[in-house]
Amino acid sequence: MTRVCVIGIGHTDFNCMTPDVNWKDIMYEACQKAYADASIDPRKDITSFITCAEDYWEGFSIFDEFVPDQIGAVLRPCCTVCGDGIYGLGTAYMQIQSGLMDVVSIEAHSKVSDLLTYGDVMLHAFDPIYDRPVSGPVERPNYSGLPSYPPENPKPLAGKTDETERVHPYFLAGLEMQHYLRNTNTTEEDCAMIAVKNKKNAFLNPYADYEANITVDHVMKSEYCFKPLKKLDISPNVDGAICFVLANEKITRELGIEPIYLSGFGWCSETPWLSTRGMEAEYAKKSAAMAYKMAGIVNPRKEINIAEIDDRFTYKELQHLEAIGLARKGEAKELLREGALEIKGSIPINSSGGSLGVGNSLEATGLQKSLEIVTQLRGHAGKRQIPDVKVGLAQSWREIPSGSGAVAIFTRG
Amino acid sequence: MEKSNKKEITYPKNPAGTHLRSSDIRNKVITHSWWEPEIQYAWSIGPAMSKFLHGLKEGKILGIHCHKCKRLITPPRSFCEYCYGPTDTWVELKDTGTINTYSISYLDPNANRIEDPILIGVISIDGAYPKPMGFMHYFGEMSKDEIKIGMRVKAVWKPENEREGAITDIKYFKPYGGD
Amino acid sequence: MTVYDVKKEDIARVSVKNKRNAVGHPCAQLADPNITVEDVLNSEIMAWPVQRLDISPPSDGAAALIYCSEDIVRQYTDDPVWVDGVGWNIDSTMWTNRDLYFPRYVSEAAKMAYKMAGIHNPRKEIDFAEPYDPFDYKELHHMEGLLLCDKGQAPILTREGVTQRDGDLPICPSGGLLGVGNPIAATMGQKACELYWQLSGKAGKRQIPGDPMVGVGQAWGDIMQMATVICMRRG
Ligand SMILES: [Zn+2]
Repeated sequence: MTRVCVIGIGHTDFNCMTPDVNWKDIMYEACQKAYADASIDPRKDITSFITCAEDYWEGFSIFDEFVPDQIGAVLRPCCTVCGDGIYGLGTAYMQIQSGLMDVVSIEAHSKVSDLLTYGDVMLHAFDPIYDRPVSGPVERPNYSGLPSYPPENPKPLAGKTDETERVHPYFLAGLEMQHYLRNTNTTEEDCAMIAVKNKKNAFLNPYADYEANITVDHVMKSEYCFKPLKKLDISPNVDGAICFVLANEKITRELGIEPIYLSGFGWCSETPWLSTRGMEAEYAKKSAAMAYKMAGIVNPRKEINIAEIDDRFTYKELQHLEAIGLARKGEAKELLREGALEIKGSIPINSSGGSLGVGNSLEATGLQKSLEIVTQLRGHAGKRQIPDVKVGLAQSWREIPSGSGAVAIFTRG
Repeated sequence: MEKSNKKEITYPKNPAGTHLRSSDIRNKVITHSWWEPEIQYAWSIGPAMSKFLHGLKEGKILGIHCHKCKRLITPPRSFCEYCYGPTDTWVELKDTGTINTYSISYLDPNANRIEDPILIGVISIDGAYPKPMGFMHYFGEMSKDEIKIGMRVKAVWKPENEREGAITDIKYFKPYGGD
Repeated sequence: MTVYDVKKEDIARVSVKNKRNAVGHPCAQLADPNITVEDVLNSEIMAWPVQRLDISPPSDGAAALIYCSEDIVRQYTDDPVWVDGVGWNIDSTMWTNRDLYFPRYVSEAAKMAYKMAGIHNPRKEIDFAEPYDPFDYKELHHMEGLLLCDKGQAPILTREGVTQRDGDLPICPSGGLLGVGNPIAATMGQKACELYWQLSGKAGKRQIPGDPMVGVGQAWGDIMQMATVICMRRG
């Protein structure tokens, strides 16, 4: 069976607002750059096209209909994966390894600045019977013994009320962070260090939008949003698009490209029952185990040189590090305090700046992570280049309220 | 599956369900949960469509060339989907064209009857090529018995002060005799 | 209709055939053993030329299939049905810049699936088909897209009875979406289940006579631009 290689990468800049371009324009820019990077003509050389997108983020039902023109897929096999970009890499991997396709394009993007009601879309992903009503209009506990809504004035239907007190769905991260801190003896200051580290790394990344020179004190003094989660613990949203081109090994050699292999990937979904599933990122653990097996990695701590870990919230980087076996349970904070996770440390994490530094690019997050790994493996990371990188790991989570995630492992040939 | 050495797979014998009527929901015969999302978007439309919509505001239909594919494209876009190259050179087109296909619509989006049916279809705009090249719009000043494929039509514009840079700045297309 | 001068009666015949075919289907929503062409032509006009009985209903439903690799299939059955080919294809979003009378995206998807399945002459080698039939005219459109007949010929084959369950090329023996119902995203699942039942001889009252060997299923999506095709073969 052929191995699967990355032959092209392309991306736009990442910006908190992009009023000057539409979603098609950013997809076109990223894909055009990736195709130029691979020196291929999409209308002749690419056999299959994949986009990773979620209708609700985009604001279209059946978003796949709005895809082919700008990625070069008109009258070609093209499909849309409703999920993070790493799922697209996995789909492409299967198409190439089965021999069905030779060259596959994978695109993911965020145009979240077009979405005016981000929290409401996210709330729409909660279970409609058990969880949404509780996250909807707040009915405060009432100690008078009288019903809050007497029969003559019944409780309005959810969403049809003029009550303004509702919770943003990020409260779920507050719940999970509380649990994580308690279970691992990690402190809020440790989490603050993640924000400081990643926003500092972002200074070295020309496409990052949220670089900042801040201290632990800044983070600690930022306002509580969902205690213990503070404003600076949260990655802000960003617009941007990324495209990858994968190919079989034969074509890669013919193009004279030094192969970087997609050597392993895995994916996993937990149950949507928020109150039943664990808060230990089991999805990350299982998807990493699958990817390690495929890539032949026995001891991830020793064999993986760098990793981009989902850090949509600061504590998530620590939690995911432990889940995927790059740290033992409760050990992530120790590595952080020692400086091991810095660009110059023994296992650099989120050298790109991560979602905290680059911005949360929704379904493009997995590709943004993979982009950094491939850039590092190619030795093109400029000021943030880490020496002697041979094996890198990208991990993403499908964000609140999901228990779904994926892992990709890249190896230099 | 009869053989005993095979693993058994079972399946339901009669999966047909029970009829459910909308009145059952209205009358709360069925226990159900209700949710009305508050979801809003404001799309940035990008350089090509912005210029096109600005043209409509001025009462003009604009097109753009792909010189490589020899296309004059409307509605315009910033790249050509056939050769994947950028488009170039804006042109003002006529506001006349030919009906490419149409339908006579008797239902609103919630499937309620409309007494006076709506005529809707695709117009190939004069000057744009290759055919068919154009957009979808309403038809007016013609009856449902008159409309036919190949019919010549012309845009009826809103008064200038009511135009807002939208496809609906054209009210509808009407029959058109001369050139 | 205009390009090929197709008669509305011939389009209505598709709906009649499919609603009658659905009579043997345990999940069917709109089976009708007595429906006639006149019933369809006299039904309420929705968006001319489309009338109520030309349209499949939106339906609730789910379909599931279990695939397994060739290595372990004998643990489960001695009579597997093989998935021989799949294909998919999408056309431009800008549908007002396209010809609408021939679905090229369907033919491209079909060619991909046929190539994989080693089918060189689809008209001879395919015994029956389950094309996507959300509206009756779409079945005709898709038969042509699947290269099962020449452009403009599908209505004639329908009129001559070729596409009936006991005809030379049965189309939608399940009753299709017009007869069984349109479960939106589960449509290809419904079509693929029917291929499996027909090819494994488990279609009961709907069984096509003469042990069909090869069947093709097809679904359609987006704004008249996306097609998926699957070919299955009796083991
Ligand atoms: Zn062109």
